[in-house]
Amino acid sequence: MSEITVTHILFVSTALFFTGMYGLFTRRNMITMLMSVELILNSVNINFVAFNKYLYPGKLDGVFFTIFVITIAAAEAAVAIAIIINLYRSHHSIDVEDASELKY
Amino acid sequence: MNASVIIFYIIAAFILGAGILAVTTRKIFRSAIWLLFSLIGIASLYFWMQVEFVAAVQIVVYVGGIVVLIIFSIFLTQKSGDEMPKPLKNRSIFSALAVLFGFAFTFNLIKQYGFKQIESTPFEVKVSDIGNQMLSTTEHGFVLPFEVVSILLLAAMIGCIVIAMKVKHNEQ
Amino acid sequence: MGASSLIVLFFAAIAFSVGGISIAKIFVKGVKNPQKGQAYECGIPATGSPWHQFNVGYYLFALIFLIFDVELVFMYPWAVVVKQTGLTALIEILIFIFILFMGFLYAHKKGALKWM
Repeated sequence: MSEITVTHILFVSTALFFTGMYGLFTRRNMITMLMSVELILNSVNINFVAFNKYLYPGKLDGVFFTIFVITIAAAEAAVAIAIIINLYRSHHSIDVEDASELKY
Repeated sequence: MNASVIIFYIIAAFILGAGILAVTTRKIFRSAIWLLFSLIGIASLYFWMQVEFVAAVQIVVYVGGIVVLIIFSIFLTQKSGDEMPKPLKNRSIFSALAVLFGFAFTFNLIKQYGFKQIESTPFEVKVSDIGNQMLSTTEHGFVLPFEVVSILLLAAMIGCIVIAMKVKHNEQ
Repeated sequence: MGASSLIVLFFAAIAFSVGGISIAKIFVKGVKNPQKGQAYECGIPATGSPWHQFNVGYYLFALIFLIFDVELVFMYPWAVVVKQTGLTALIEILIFIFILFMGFLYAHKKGALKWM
């Protein structure tokens, strides 16, 4: 236990992933669900950087993947919030249970 | 136990504590602030792993951009001082069970795998290396994703403006 | 400046802030009333709750900020190596900026940047 290996970092990212999963399961408010999705994406980013640092130290591909994932997360959050705002205008609520027209 | 190990455990506890509070607290504004702290903790984990550029990107885009956008959306759609309703008891118990089971399964899997670490090559991320590889048009160059990302950002921007401004024309 | 001095600095920072706040708690004998807790707004009494809802216009500004924030992330490594890469880098970044500038023109034309 005196040295941090890739396994330790993977434990942290796994715990963060399942924390985000728990939020996604229990929350019914769209903004908090979006925040849980952000936590999940961040745990994936930690994995990429840890694999690059410990398993393939001569390359930079994990860093590139992290940068592109962060970019795509920014675009995704912007579009999701636009949809949430539009949904609030038409339903006056951002609870996922209230927006069930697309279900069937 | 040297100092870098202790710092890693402090950072890990900070990330997980802030993350758990972000998904369990019932005031939505506090949830956003805990998410902010969790993201700052992840940025410090990147600093700990000596990838300073990714840490800076994390702070600039996540902490400075996405969390601000989320806080704006909270102001736009909620009476944000109110408490959210409690999740149903059945649902929270079963999702906690599912999450714990999944975590135990993955934990076991990672523990048994046995990664082969390469200690010989030092890992350093120079920004000039990132720039060279990003702009190179030869093998292992990332120039095509670099250009495609700009189209993605353009599409996101136009889509957001179309979706968020649609109703305003009817009002005027 | 090793990692162990970072731990010392970490605890020093915590002790400094906690110590300052707790000393202030001990010595200050304040009178608490609702007037004192109000936000200062040019001397006029504040109306309404601070948790009211805001205009959509703010969201569009934040959105355009976020998109160009992300653009900056890609421009920084480019700026480090542009001198040695030369003309290729210049052409690549011109395509990149041209595509994002289209989005800026669209936002401007739709009036997303007008204050409402």
